[in-house]
Amino acid sequence: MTEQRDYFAAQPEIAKELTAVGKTKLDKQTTEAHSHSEIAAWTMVASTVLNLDAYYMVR
Amino acid sequence: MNRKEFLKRSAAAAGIAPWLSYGFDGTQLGLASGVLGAPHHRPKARRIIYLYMAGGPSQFETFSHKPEMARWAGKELPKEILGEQRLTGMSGNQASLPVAASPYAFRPHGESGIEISELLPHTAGIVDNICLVNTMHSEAINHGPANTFMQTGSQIAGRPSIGAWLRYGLGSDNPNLPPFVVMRTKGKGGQPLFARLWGNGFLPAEYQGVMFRPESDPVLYLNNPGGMQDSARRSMLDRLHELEQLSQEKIFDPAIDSRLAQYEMAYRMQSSVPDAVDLTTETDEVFSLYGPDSKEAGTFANNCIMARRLAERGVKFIQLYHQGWDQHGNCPKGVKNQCQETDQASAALITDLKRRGLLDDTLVIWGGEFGRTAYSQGKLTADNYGRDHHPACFPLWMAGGGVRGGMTYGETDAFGTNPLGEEKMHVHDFHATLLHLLGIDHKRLTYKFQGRSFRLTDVHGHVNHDLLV
Repeated sequence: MTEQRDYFAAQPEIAKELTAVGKTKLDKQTTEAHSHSEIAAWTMVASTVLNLDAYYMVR
Repeated sequence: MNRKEFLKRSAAAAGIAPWLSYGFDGTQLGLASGVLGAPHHRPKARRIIYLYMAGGPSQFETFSHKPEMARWAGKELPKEILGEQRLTGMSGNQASLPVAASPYAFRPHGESGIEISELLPHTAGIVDNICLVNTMHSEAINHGPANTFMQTGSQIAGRPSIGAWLRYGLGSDNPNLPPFVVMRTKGKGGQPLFARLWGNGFLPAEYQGVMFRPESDPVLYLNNPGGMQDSARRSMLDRLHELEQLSQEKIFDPAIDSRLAQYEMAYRMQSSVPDAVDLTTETDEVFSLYGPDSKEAGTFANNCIMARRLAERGVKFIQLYHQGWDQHGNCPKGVKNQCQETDQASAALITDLKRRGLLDDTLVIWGGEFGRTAYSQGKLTADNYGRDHHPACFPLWMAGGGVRGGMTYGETDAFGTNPLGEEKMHVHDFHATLLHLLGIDHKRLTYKFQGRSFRLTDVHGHVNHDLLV
């Protein structure tokens, strides 16, 4: 998370591009509470976790 | 230091390409030589391009010259010719089974003098390069099972396809592209194609064929979304590997490795695929060789150029599907259209591979899942008829890759309905011969599943040495 936070904090325009992707548009409440860089960083972390075997396989 | 760390450091120290430092080992990177390590014997072919004519091309308008049938036209097909052959429910209950003669002329071509129909003028031009098998035969009479049989050696779904077996046995020649690629002609209808035809069956998931589509995005969901830079994707995959490594230490399930391998392959394909499918570097001469359709993405001709490019890049099994050979009705016109869509490019592929020195070790195959009946399905008129499915004998040709050119194998009777003599090639024999050409003893490439060993040929198959150089 720290890695991604630093990465997007250094490139806010890239963060904006990433947060514009997808069906769900960010609402005002969210963008006021969190920076695009913060949301982008969490997006990457979530994407990694959601792609883990442990996420979709019952073992 | 754990294994991954060791690999990473030693790769860095040895100056190995950066992607070598990712993943668990070479197997996950598609770099493996396959389960065999080395082929069983010296291979004649390094790769296969299989031009699959889905639907069951009629032999009578293409490769089987049956002049006798003209005299029988409209008369009942003799009972003793049909014998005990199984017919489908589509024509088996017809009151009459009248002989339908091809309206198309045949003449001998090349030094070999092989007779080819006028619908295939370009194929006629390369006839001295091909081995024409007249007596392919199958056990399945309907498309689903017959296609599955041709591609997996079993009529029942669930077995690995030819390309998956090759990947399992021989590995990959190019770590940046999948060793098994599938393309289909755009806009063709007819009988459906199922993903199981290029599936991995019980083999690991990364052995399945990868479908390239004719759109600007040839592999779906391959590209990064906006704002996702390459470095971000890379670090995401690295973290994913680390986390999976932790669970692998406890679980050790190969399915996890398979998925990681596919993530990695997809990552590498982000840069390798755009290059492989970029036809802008092809010359006008190449496009004119493959024919007028060849500049249009998704045509059979365009896919043939693509196939050659993938062959040049070390893809082992390249499968092109061209649907629409299922002429139950309007056979004369239907087959003519099918030939027009495929003839020039099929021949051009042989010519092109040959002049690039690739034909020697590339096996090209042309054929479908079965042939068609000598009698007309539906009404026979002066210039129209249909033909039903006929698995007892059908044509298939091969070229290059250790197969003898300018030869025919097997003969059929005057009605193209029964094989004559001993020269016959069953689907299992075809598979055994393919594997043999690639350096594999089909009896010794096995995978244990549900308590027993399986092969592409299961408990059947004989290598047909008559066809080999």
